Amino acid sequence: MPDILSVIIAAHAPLKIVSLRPENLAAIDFRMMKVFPAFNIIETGLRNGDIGPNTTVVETSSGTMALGLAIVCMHFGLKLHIFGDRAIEPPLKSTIEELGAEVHLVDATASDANVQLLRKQALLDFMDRTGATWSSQYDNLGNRLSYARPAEEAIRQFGKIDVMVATVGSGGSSCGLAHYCRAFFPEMKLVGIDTFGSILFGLPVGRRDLRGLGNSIMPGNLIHEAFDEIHWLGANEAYQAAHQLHRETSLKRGPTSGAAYLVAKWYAERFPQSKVLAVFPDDSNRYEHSVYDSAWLHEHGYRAELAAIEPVLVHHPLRANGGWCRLDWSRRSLAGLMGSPHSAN
Amino acid sequence: MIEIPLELPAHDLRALQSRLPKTSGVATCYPHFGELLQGAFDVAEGGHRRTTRALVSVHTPYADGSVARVTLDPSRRGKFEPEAGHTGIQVRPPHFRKCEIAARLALDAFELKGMSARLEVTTAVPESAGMGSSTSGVVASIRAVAHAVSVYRGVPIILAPHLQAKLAVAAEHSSDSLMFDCTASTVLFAQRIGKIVRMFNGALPQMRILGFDTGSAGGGFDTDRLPRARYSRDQIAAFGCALAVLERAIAEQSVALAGRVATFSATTSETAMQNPLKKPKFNELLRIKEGTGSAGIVVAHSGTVAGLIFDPTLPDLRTRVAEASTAIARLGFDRLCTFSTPY
Repeated sequence: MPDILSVIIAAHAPLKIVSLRPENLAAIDFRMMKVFPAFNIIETGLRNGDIGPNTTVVETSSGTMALGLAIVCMHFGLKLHIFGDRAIEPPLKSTIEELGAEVHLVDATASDANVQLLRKQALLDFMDRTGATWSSQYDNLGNRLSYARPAEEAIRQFGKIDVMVATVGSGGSSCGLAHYCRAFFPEMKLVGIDTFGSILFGLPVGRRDLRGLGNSIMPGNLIHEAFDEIHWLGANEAYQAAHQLHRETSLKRGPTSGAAYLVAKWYAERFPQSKVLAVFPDDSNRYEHSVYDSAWLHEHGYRAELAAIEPVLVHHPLRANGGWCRLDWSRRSLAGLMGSPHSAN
Repeated sequence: MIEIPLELPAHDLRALQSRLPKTSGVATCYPHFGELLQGAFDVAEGGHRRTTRALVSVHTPYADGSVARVTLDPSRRGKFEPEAGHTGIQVRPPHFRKCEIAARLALDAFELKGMSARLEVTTAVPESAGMGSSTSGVVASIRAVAHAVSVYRGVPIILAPHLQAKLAVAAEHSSDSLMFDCTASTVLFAQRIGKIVRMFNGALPQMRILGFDTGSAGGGFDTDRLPRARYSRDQIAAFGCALAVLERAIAEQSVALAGRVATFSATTSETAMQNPLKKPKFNELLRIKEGTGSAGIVVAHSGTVAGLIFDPTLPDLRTRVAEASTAIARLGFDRLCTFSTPY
């Protein structure tokens, strides 16, 4: 592995563990989490020959994985095509393009229920035409395995972890971090955060206003049996939580980080003897003109007083229908939890 | 443990020299008891990363190890090689070839290439158990040579642990880390290249270990011929995390965390992608660990001994250790012993 790239990765994502209040709460503050799976997937592909020097890499992403791959492919001199949607707004698009990647946006609004399927179809058509190689973040095991280094750093700086709170999209970070921590602390609780309209934990597919977590297709990297508890948050709850995170800690981060902060803080306050680690995947760059713009919030009807301030306990995913809900998942399979053999996709 | 004249007051040095022939040296090396951690680690090296095999030995400084006696023979000079039978070293017992080669390499290192010597090694360490019988003899031989050369020349010799490591690995290809002082710091030692991969600030927390031999039921095996375990990418990645847990265990002096490292390493040794070294009744041992409040299970990764780690500050330590002893004896394992490590 060329070490210059690990220095670049460390510059993008320094792996700092930040102590927060209450004192049993801390966060792994990635700032750009997706450089880890991007690097591991590409490096493994190069090592085992799936990717050669002239390979064109393709991926479907709503933004952060695209940027991670653009950074890694630029350093390896690989061509990259991204299939995204309008969640990739013009500033991010030009950032990715300046790194040499091409961005194809499917014609659907970012919150459309089937947006991930449309992106995937465009990607498959492109592969048919060009013979490009799909890095496949949802199913590539290299995604999950890339979280060993972050887990190592979390343990080094925070010690034994009792509860980990992570947003879930591909399953890579949540299941990957938990896998490596549980090699030593098998009793560690994993709390996953999803959103309404995402099918990951048994909800019907639907419109999703909150992006950066959740999914409309079931990723192979998601292991349902790893989760002790699932929370669903609406977009307003996550946006207000991002502001709360900023006001209370001075860390200005994205709404996925806000979501993790909200849920992790709730745990840390309820269980003062447990050491709780929140996973903050991204920073606020992409959200200055939306979540961090009060006019935008007002225009879209996101108001602090409408956000749920504590979770409603539900006993079945189909009971989770807005605001902030939680369910005792107890490391069950999706089918086991839904009560019958059930195909979610 | 290193007997170098420099450490003795001047009158003792004279007394020692008057008792011994002016060409003799004696030294010892204690054994170890498996490894707290052994595996393959991704380490940065010269701008690149490479996977290196390395280990953290569980030292047993209070146990009887090996004693080596070296007598130089300046009257018998020759052209010698570090090759058994051509070393110019008469070794007893004659099959201690690694000790013979180590003594030659040590003499060469002290610029006595033409010097012959007699070497006698006695060891209390059982072979194939994973307690460092070989390294203990080799290190004692190297130290005894240094002692003899110091006496012969009448000047002190500082025998750095790094030099002992280099000579030991040259003599036996793979060494345990017995040459390093386990009370000052903890080392992750690359057993096949003789180098420290990572140095941790401080000793391991003090642990009480109930040791036993899982090979006593079946036959032993030749550790030199043991095929090397091969680990998956996933396992190698997890070994990196083990270093973080170990660092916390040392910083917090936490037996609980050290135990987690040991159990992880023992479990990975059982499940290595290729050539796992399975301990008989490992799952039963894990159950006994859980049932008796032991912090972890330590194993020899190329040997037959294993042990349960206990926090010595547990209020009912004696009862727990007694319960665990009974349960382990019932599994048919013997050579039960308890000891304290690293001091």
